[in-house]
Amino acid sequence: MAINLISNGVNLFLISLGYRQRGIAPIFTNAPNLNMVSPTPQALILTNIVINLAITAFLLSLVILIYKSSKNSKTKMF
Amino acid sequence: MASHFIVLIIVIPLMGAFLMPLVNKFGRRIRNFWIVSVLVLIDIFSFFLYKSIFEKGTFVYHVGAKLPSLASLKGFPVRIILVGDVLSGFLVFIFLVIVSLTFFYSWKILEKHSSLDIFYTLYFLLIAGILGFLLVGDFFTLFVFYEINSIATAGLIAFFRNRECFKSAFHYLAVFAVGSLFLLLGVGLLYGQYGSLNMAVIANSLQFSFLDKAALSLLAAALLLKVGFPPFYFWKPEVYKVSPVPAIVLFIISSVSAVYVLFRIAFDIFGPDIKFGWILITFSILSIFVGVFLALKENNLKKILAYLAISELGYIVLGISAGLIKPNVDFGLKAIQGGLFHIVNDILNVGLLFLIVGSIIYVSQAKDAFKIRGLAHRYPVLSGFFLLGILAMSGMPPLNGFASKIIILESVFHLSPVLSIVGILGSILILAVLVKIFASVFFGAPVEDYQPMPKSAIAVISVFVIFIILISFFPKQFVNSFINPAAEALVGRQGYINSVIY
Repeated sequence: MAINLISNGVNLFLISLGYRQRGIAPIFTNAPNLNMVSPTPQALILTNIVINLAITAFLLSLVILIYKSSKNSKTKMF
Repeated sequence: MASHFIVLIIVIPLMGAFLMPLVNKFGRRIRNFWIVSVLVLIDIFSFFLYKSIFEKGTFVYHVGAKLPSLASLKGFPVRIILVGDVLSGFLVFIFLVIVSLTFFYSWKILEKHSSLDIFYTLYFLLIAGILGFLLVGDFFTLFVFYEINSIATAGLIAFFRNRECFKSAFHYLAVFAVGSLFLLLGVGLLYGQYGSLNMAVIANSLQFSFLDKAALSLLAAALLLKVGFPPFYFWKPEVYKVSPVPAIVLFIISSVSAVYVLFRIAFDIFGPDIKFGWILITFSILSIFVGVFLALKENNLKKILAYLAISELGYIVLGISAGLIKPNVDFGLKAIQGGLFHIVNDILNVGLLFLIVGSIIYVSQAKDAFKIRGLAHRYPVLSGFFLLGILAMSGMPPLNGFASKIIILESVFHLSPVLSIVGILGSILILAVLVKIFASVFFGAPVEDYQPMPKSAIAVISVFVIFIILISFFPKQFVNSFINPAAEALVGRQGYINSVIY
């Protein structure tokens, strides 16, 4: 949870970097002028979201494995 | 063909990793053949890459548009570039040789375990992560490889599939998920100011504002976490304790490659800086002492070596960051040479000790150093090699550890005599810790009957020993022909920028 929260914070920061006043979506073909939102941060965020999904899934699977391998039922998970 | 070597040595391990489960279906022999052929292929490519860098200078590879005008209307385009200069080419070559050797070591040691195909998948993934770390030329790809590194490492930690392994894999991954976000935030700060992700372009337009320093400290924090320096060292002993030994050698290499990236950023992007250099020196002194003192009170063999690995990394950073303070003076360059030389020696010495400990654990099936006794009766050659590793690691003349440590300590002495006194003290304590292990493991009456030692493990350990002895006999030739050009490549900031931007 906490990791996802930090990751979302960083993503929000990155997307604000690419913002432009009255910008439009960065698609070249039907752009009336070149006042577009910068596409690079969006690409970065997309990558980061995917990576975070992978890491969250991995962490959760490890939690399940830890839970299964703990023998006494008294062990508390967090 | 020759111009694609640099990208091929990242792509081939990735391909090797993802095809591994498929190849595994055809049986053990075909899988081993596949692994060997991938390793030999990237070894050959890295050798030719290093040779061509040596002859023709820094090598830049563009993944994407080659000319700036093809990709964007103005300025430097957003694209991935790979940069191989003398330093990174040298490190890639050395690392791959060591990695290939550890595979032959793991051949017999890990043979009995199940799910070896997954182990080797992650193994190659980690190799690709490390190589990408060394060769990358822009910040975002650096972040991606950092993540590949962390995920593959966490998978390797959980190899033995018991509760302890899962727990430390969980801790490791949680810590590095946060660490990678530090890296990303630092990259974001730099991107926001300069509108580029390319290292050389950022270096060219850097203004040294407050935000730049904030970005540098974020990047340094993430990389020091990977290196495993105090106060970020806590993951290291836990991880080294539970992972299989062939994977530990890769973790050592991964830590060292983080040192390389840290200094690549510090030297070539932010430029030599006195304050940052002193901060790093403080960290390295801390790590020398924290590592040694924690090793003194530890009983677990692998944990002791993990703490000693932390303090050895301290020497590397001590040398190179002394160069960060005074790069243009004679002793500054000497210090950098010593630091880079110590990278090679560190991998060889710590790797050798870990490999021997791994085979000790294999033959005795015990994990506590104080339960194993009298190995010198059964394995006289092995104990001789261990003694050699001890002497080399603690910097006894005339071995290789002495050659690099004396360069570091002599040149640091010009900066401040206190630093070299601390360094010598650390060396003596390392010797004390190692003698303690040696006496308890190898001497005394053997308590039980041990398994026979696998031949491939002994062969790999002897190759390590041969390397150590070779470097010990010819330290001067080694430094002059390999280390010196690498040190100059690291210092020349303008040269790096010019070679990437035409």
